[in-house]
Amino acid sequence: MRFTIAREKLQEGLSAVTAAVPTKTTLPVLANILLETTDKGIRLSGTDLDIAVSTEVLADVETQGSITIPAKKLAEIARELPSAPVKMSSAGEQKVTLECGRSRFKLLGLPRDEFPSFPTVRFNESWRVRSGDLQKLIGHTAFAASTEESRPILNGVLWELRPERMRMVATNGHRLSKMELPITSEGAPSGDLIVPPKALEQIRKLFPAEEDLEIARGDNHLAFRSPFTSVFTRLIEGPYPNYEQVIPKDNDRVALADKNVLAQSLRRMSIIASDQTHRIRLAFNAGMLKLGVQTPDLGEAQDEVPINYEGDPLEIGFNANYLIEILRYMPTDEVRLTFKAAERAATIEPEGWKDDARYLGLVMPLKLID
Amino acid sequence: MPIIPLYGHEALRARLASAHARGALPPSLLLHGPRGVGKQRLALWIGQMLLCDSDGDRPCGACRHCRYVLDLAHPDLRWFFPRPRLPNPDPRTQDVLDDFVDAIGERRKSNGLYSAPGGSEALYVATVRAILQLASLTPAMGRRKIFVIGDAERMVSQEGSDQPANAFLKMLEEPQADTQIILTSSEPGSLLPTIRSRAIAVRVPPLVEPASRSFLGDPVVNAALDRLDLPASLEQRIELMEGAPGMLLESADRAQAIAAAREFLDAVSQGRAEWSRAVAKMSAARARGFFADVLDAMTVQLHARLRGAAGRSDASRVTAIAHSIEHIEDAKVRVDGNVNPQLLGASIAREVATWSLS
Amino acid sequence: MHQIAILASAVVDQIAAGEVVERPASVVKELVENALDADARFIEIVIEDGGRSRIRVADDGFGMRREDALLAMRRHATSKIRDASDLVGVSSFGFRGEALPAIASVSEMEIETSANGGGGTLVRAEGGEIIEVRDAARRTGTTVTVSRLFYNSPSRQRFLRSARSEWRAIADLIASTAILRRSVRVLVSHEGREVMNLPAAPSVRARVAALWGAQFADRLVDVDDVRGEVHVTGLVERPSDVGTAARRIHVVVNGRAIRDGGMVRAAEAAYRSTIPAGTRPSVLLDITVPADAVDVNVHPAKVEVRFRDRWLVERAVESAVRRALGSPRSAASIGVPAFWAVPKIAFSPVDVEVLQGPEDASPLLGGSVTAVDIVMPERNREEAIPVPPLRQLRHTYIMFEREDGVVFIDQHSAHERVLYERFMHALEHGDAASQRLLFPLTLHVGPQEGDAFEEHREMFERLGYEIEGFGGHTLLVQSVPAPHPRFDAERCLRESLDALTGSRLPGTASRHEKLAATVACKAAIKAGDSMSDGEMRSLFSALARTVLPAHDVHGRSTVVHLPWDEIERRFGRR
Repeated sequence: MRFTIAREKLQEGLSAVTAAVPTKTTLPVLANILLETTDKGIRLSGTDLDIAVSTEVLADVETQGSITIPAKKLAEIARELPSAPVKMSSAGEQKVTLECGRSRFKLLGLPRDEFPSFPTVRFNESWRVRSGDLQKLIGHTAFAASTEESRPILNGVLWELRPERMRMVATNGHRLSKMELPITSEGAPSGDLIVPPKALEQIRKLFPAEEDLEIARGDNHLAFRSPFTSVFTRLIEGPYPNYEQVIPKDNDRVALADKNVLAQSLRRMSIIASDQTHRIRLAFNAGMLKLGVQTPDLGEAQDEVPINYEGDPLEIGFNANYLIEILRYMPTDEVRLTFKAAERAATIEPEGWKDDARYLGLVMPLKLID
Repeated sequence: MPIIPLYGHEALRARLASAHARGALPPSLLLHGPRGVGKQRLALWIGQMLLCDSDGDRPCGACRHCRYVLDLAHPDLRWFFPRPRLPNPDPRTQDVLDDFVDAIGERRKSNGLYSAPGGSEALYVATVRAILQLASLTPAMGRRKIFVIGDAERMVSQEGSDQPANAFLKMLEEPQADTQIILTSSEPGSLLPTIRSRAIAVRVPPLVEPASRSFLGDPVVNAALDRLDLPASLEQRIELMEGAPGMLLESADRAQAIAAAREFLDAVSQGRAEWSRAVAKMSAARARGFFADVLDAMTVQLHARLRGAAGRSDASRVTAIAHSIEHIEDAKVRVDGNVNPQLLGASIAREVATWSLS
Repeated sequence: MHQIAILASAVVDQIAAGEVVERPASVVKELVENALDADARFIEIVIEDGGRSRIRVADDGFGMRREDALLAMRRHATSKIRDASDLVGVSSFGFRGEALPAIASVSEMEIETSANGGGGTLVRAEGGEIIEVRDAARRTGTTVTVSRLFYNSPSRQRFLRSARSEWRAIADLIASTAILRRSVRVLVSHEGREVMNLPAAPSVRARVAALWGAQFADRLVDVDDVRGEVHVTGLVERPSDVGTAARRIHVVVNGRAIRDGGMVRAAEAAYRSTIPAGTRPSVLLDITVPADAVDVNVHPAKVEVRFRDRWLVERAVESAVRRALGSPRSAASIGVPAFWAVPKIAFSPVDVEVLQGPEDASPLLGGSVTAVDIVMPERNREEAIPVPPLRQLRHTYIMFEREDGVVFIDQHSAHERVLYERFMHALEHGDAASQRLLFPLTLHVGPQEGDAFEEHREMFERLGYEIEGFGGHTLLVQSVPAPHPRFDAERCLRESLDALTGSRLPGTASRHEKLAATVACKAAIKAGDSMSDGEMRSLFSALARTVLPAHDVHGRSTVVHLPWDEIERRFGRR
């Protein structure tokens, strides 16, 4: 194998795949990346067997071939190289020579067939999604997934793909976020996937917003593909809890509030809120929201925010952090909050959003025991 | 280097392969049988069979899946077994998995030959939680994922709570179609009845002689055994093994402890300089493992000396040894408190030396 | 009644014969007890050469008239017992009419005493022969000086040990008396140096602190329990501290210090499983039994007693100590409010040589890192607590620096303490936060856990668990407490139920304590959890705001202090 590549191209390829390279593994070859020559250049691949990333960059190939090289070392070398063409060649299965300007490196690799094969996913029944849309979905929902290990299923983000729409839902059992976008993927099947947020995060970073992605489901993997880059991820198995059932349909108390004013007030209140439970109290009256917090051993605070509120007065408690967090993701300046009762779920939605997406946040109240 | 092949158990393997071919292999198996007969090795073989690309009645041994399994590196064949408690009392899944990367690395280095877990090694809650976490993901490479859980009766309760077993029951109760669980136990009676009733029990008998012979004929096995303090002749080894390769390895562990005990007692009788050196050689931690075995061996050896002295009617010697034994018994109690073996060793040496001088 | 009388011979016969004066310590004992009997408020003790050359005990008690002082030199004079019937149910100190004459017979003795201030008497005797009696000016009180003990009895003199070990016996004796009679100020000097200055103390704990240091006192847990007719009070060492310092044993029965292995063993039995085999706790016990349940005059040295029913008393001791060790509140209620940020105690580092046997090796090898009492003065609760820069170590400890050294906080123990106090507050005042769940939890529990739940149902609700549809041992959990973001409500509930199984605690208060302690332990962040800077800061201030920040509910230290002195010593800078 022998090829010449621009340093920038090499770095570009490496930065895409090294995020998938694990730090500790039973399979030593996974600390390496796989380099393969293609028609137009070289393909770099790395995997921790949860996520696999493969990307193709332009290069001048003299002789075909493939080899695996320690990922970390190669990335460090590439970072320190002068901006000049990089010549790489392999002698046999294990030795790689890298030359750039007057620098010369010899690296020991591992034979190509020790590297695991990538999952096979057929793209004949695929969904087509603009990367930017996907980023929007991920960015607005993945934060709400659970990080606790007690219920693995909630560690994932539910992704419902339908021919005409897609939706992501994430929850930790206390709050939930849900976003939906129309898509046009004719002929694509419907699918409910539970994706590890780690994979979604890589996808969000990896693909530029303007790229069109093809997404397909294999036996055990979900695959994302752009013209040059593919990502594969394992999925979480099992039925996702029936979230639709818990999203209230009959919340009849509605408040319209300025997002920033409300968020600022919540942040002020949470200074005095308990460090651990972040408990605050909201009292909704016509035209005015009173916020109050009282923490034993610390003190108390009150604030008022003018709002537009209809319905009977309501007092309800929340974890302020959940509210602040959801408000941070709300895309509009005005938000709509709906309630039923002090022990029932509250929803938060953007108000007057000129977008074809639909977004909803849900927070379960934090009750005060008297 | 791959682990040594599975020897013997031909009839059982044929039965399991045929069940697999008919799609009738129960998703939860419990391999039980005498200690050291190769239950976990057989479980790995079943896993290899389930993952192998070939359609034959036994794993091909050549495809990528088989190679990964034999290197103990297959991401879809997860092997868990009792481990020492992690320093962190409530480890996260990643800590457990990192620990198993090391543990599996050791087993790979010894070609899959290992001896029974020590007294305080167990499958702690965090391990079970890690298993559940892994089980929630789709397979990484193969068509299914396999969990081999060795010495499953060592799934211990933490602080008297049955939480780990409960969590594990959940997995046995609602198995994914692509999940195979293989428990092994040489003390199936100690398993929770709820677990026992959810797994199909398969008895693994001791190896018959031709299989024992081929196991002992394996050059890798031979090289490993030759490093241990074992009789050299094949016939003696077959006799010692009693159809259980694991017991042979364990007898070597015992032999090592016996040798260490003898060395220590000899050093003690040679004066302070010698025993100080012997003490310095001891590890400063992990009292409950090897050190406890050495203490046991010391007791046995001192009892033998005691009988000798009594036979010679050497009263002062008898008293001296009796006192030494008493002191070692005392030391054994302390070992349970996980004291520093070096300090304890020094104290024993001093005590025994005093008595043997007087 | 204060006058000394000659005992009737019947009484004399009832007193077991025996040696009264064995060694300097027994002289000190007699003299000090005489002083106490004289209602002294202040006793000054001067010892020279381990008591072998001189023992002087001066008190401000009521003193003696001249005839009493002379009578005191005669055998079997006592100021307390006049009739044999007084011997049944003796509840004051023993009677030692024989004491002074016996001492006088083997020493040079001088008694200087005044019963009314000014006009007093001085009596001098050598070997029991009175050689001088004269007037002396003295404040009210008595000073007895015993010199050249056993000068006329070479065989006894030979049995005296070194000055050091005789002094140690005297010091032990004085300590034990001082604990017993803590309203008396005691000043002791040995070889011309003041070695003890014990002001009158309001409590045993304060006396112990004056004697052996406040740090030692802080390792002790209060005992106070009544069982039948037996009342046991005192102080015992917290299990986690056992074996880390010199052991102190002090047993008092009906106001009398005694030596009784049985009581000590009974107290030790209460520690079973909490301390390593072979280590033994410090125990200071004050046992009160009805006067007729004990015979105190078994031996004239009066350190042993005979109980009518020893077993009963030992059981009472064991259960009292066990209760003290088991109660989270008392296990943690160490020390009076001190300072969050100011360590009180200097400590002496212990060097352990590597080849020392384990009997000397404490669990804290190199054990110079000590737990400090860091408790706050009554500070204004709303006042902001300055938080130093914090750093997490091994995902287990939080470390910070302050003027006098480095301090480590155990994050789990600290959080457990914080949660315990919060849960107690919630149980008593009902202000817990309860997070409503989106998807209710369904828990299948065993019959015992189910019973434990029913038993504690209302309290679980007060903690924030809202549980419905109970039946057939299925719990449907709608809301859970939200003590911190990583809280695993299901696991905590299961483990708490498990821990509560079979517990039947009588009082509401102790049930509250038990539940709060259990849930706090299960709910606290674990060692190994990484904490953000903000989380560490809030744990720090929350801990500082607790009432008893220095110990968790198991009595383990939450905070450990490594002073610069120690660090510098290790680096050889001093």
